[in-house]
Amino acid sequence: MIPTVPKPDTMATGDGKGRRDRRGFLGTMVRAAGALAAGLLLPGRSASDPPPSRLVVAKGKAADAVRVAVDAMGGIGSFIRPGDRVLLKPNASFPNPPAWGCNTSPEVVAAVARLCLEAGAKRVLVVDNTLGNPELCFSRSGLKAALEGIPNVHLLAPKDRDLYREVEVPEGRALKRTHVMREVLEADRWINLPTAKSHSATGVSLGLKGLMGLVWDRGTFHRDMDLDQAIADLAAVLRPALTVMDATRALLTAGPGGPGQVERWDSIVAGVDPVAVDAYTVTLGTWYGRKVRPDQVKHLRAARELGLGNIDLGRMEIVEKEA
Amino acid sequence: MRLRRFVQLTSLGVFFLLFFTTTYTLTGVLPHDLYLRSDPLAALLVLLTAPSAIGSFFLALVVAGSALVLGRLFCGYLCPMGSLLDAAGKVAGAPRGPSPPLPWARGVKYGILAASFPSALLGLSLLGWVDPLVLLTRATALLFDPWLQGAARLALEVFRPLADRLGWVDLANATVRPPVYWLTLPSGMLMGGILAVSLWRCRLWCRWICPLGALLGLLGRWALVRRRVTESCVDCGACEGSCPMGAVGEDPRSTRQGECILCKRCASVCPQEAIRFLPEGRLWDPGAAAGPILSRRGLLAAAGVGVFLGLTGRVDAGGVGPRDRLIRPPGALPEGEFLNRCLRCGLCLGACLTHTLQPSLWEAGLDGIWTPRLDLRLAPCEKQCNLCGRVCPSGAIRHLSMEERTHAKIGTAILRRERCLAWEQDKSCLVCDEICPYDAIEFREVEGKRRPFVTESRCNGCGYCEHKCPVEGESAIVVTRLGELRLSTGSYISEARQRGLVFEGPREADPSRPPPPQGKAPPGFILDP
Repeated sequence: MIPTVPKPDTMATGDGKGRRDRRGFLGTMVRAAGALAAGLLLPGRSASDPPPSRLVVAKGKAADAVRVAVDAMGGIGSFIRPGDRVLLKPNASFPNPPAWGCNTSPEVVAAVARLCLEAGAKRVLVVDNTLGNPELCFSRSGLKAALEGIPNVHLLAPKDRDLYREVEVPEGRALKRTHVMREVLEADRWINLPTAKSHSATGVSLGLKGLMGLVWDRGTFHRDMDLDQAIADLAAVLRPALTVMDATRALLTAGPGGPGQVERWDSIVAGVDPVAVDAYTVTLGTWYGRKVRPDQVKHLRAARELGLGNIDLGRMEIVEKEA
Repeated sequence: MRLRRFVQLTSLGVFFLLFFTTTYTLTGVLPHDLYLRSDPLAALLVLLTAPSAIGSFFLALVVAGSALVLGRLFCGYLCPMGSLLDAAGKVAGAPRGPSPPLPWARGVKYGILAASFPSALLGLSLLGWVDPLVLLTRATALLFDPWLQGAARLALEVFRPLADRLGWVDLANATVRPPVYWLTLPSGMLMGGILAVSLWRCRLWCRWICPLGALLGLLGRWALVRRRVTESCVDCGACEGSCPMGAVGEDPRSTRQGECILCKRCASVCPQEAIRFLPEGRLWDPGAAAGPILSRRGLLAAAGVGVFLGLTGRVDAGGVGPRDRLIRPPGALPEGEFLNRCLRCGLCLGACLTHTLQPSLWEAGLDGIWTPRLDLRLAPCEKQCNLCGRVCPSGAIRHLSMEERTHAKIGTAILRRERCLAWEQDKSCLVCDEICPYDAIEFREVEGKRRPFVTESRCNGCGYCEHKCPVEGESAIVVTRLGELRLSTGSYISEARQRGLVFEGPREADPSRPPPPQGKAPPGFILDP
């Protein structure tokens, strides 16, 4: 039960293994220097430009705004086919009520679940590896009550190690492999349902940061690697079919758990490009009392450099709707 | 006989049901502390030093009153420990009939009863060691519950592939995490000892040791409903061999009244049908009240032992006050009153959502053994949970509303900079800040580096930081008793406000007011110079 960290010096021994490690280390240093030089010479040009992204911003009551936003994205039918086993990933990490702004609003999750069922989804799993006690998180966030009685919708917080499978991250610069919830790997389609909030480490916790709710050991992200890079790396292997950002409220300080300053935005931001949805959401808020550009958010910049999506608003087509 | 078995098994079932429903879903409808509140021994010993607890023990008075008329009926029909020992004895074939020939042994239970009063008065509660309902409740919390959940987990692992194949998503993804406790083994050994002696001879625990049985036996010495043998007795002795309590005297017409639990087994085996339990003719029949009670010398010796234990409990180092790292549950009464009231039953341990609540060993002194304390390295205290106070039978932990509970500060986190990754190794670790549910960790610029600080006025002592701190071994941030709020009466909210503590909810932005001042930027932002 007591969390432990492997001692950092356990690999540095005088045997042949240690020599190999040193050689590997030198190689890493050379590669890192090269990458650094390339980065300095070609700022923001280390990956080919992703195609322009299309986002929909719908204002209004949560459930209506979700419907309008998804319709403007081409309708739920362009993401979910009849018979699909669908998975939704809201943020439900904290046992706090919706007004605190640290979890995805239950109305948003329920609205998307209903849309999926309308599109003929065979079943809808709503999952999060919650930070807090799952039962408490689900009941206090209002998620449990909102989903109760919707047929074929299951609210789950898989916690056992054998409910996760190891996944390689070939493009990863900090994260090489990680254990991912197997239901995500087995789902036909999945939709990310983040909420707009601040985060004391990563600045903002939006769609990309929320992906950490699908991995087994997130402690290692904080301890053993560059957190911002690792989040971007994770986004390279966990690609939702659609991201529906709950920006009905925004927690602008004291994230991810609050209590902090909450603003009502009454907006839903939807898009296929997960990086663009996050980047646009960043521009909506005053985080920790300051305006921040998307390229000032380290993990979004890292995701852009991996070619995962756009952070430049000039490369986004933004459709505004009223619900 | 059949009726008694049915009542006994039902009572045992209700006992376990009430225990196992003390989870977060607890609705407040079921009386989870029913048995402990019906315990006259617990009531007497607690009321001795905490008379204000009288409100918790109405049912215990009812049970005590019933003994005046019905003797040890409670032992024979309702006591879950007795029911469990009977069931185990039946399965294992524990011999009934006369007790092993130790004439003084029956007096032991009276001795324990006699010792427990001076001991409790002087400063050491024996409840946690000798009360059957306390012992069984605690064994259920520390032993049976982890066993059961461990078995459930095993079953889940075995059946998961099947559930997967059948498309039972909820079962396939279910997770059971059996609680982990300190002192499972000692608690199990106490229970095992009780079981072992009672398998050697039927209900030997009840015959020789149980002070609750002794108390009910004393109260029922002149009970109206009692064993009476009529003239038609032929001295065959069948009753003596059948009695599960060894309550039939050497002359089968006599009864050791303090031992009889009204099971009526003797009546059912009597070939002459010579045994009656309801009064016939004369109601007052004091001559039949035979049976050993402690001799005067034994009583004095027992009281002496009680005084010795009580004084020892008082002079034990625990008496100088709780240790710095002894964190009590939110709403626990001031330490002295808390120790007086706590039954050591472990109901709170079983209910605790995160199982941070653990039985104390020596952390609170001799008198504090088995009392609940928080092990925050093991698990945090959940902000949105007041279960320990809701299930506490004696009010040692107050039943607080959620808002009151949020203001019941249990300690303050202290940052140990020499172990902290951020302070000592310049790492960008901020796990404590990320996890803190009260927003009590603040990062400040110190000589160009971001360093964590604890804001004492916001820290509730919940221990999320201590639990999650990634430093190996002892945490770099530990919760101490500093600033804990322990109120016998009155509102925690007003006390917290008076002390300038801030445990508030979200701050809704007010557009008419100027925006908040710029906070420190998180490291995930690259700020313009």
